[in-house]
Amino acid sequence: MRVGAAALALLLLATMSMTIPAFNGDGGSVYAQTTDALSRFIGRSPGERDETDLLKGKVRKGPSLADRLFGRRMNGGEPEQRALGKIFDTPPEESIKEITQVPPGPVALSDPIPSGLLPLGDVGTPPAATVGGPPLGFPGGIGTVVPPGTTAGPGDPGVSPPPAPGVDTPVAAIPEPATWAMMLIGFGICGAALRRRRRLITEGLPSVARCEPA
Amino acid sequence: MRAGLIGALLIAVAVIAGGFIGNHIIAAVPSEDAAHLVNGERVQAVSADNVREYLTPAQLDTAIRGGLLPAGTKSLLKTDGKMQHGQYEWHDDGVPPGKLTIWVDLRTQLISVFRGGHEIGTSVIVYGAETMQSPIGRFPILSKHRDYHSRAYDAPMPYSMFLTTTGVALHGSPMSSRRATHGCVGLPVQFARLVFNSAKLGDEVRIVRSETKAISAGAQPAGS
Repeated sequence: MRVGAAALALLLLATMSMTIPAFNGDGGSVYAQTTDALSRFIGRSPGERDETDLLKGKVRKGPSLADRLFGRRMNGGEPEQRALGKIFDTPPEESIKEITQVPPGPVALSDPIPSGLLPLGDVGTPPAATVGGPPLGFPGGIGTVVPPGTTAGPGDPGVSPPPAPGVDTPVAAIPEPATWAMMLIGFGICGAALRRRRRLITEGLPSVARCEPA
Repeated sequence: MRAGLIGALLIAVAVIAGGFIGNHIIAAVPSEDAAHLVNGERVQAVSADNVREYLTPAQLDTAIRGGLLPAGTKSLLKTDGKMQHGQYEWHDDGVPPGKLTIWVDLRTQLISVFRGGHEIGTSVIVYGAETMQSPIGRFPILSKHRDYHSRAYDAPMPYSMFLTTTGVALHGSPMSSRRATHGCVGLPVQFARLVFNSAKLGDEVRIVRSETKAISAGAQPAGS
């Protein structure tokens, strides 16, 4: 009885070895019967190259560390904006009105200045109407900015009271050393990024392909 | 009853043994007399026949017209499915020495090395980017340099085989689907070494861009 069971099992195995490719050790022959050689030749190809893939750097797989730390959400399809370090407020409406009230034609040097604009040769000396008032024009612009409340006249050597609360302290025209350092570091980072990017992606003129001058 | 069972057992053993011998021993013996019909002529099969396959005349005609294969192709290497960047096959056993024909298809990103019409090597390539496209055409190998170093890009170009006077070459390269070259055809370094050792000056390199229609038509199963 035991011999009979063994014989049946072997017969079953023999039948399977003749019909199932995995058992006869030559699955390729069955595969060859179902698909032709040309299809397999074409099937070798990894596909056409997508040019856009070449332009991508490292793929960002999730939110950055800064996003996770500060709980920011990923931008939903919008381009990411990076603001400059300093943000300049929009000028007050009064200054815009004063600019638009300037007559369009040329103004003679002898003509009186219609508003708080400084006359030529008197840069740094505010007109009497502006003394004690808020500074006119764009804060932080190039030029001497006189803090409110100062007279800045001869014989009054620059001892100015602290600014009143609620009034912005004017920004110095010349950047601080820390600002210079930050700018130089930024240039360095940009240069390093460009250098690294140049290694990753190819570049050049579309004229003549040349890997190396022969 | 017992004798019948023993007989069945012996038959089963014989069937299994016969199947094993037929699949693994007889099929692996190179058949010197085997020949295949390609384009109406009998092509003598090479000895390592278990790694090659043969196209029908209709398939070969389709492949040649679509720019997939050079005229005179006699056999192809058997490969398993899609190849990845860095993967290659090389089997030149039994293929008689002779002039190489190197077929580079930019669309399929494949290179095939033929000797006497028999494909002896294939690999995935990297080629020139859009801004620095690889040239299309027929080029002889002008010069060979085993350890060339690019002066323009300060990059190694092992096993360089220059095709043009402007610096386009076949050479070993790091392989990635995201890589492109400055017009050269980059190969896996080991594959480039094999091609370098087999190729001679003047051997022909054809750089083509096959037609999409041919690919789609050829990808249809046989008989459809």
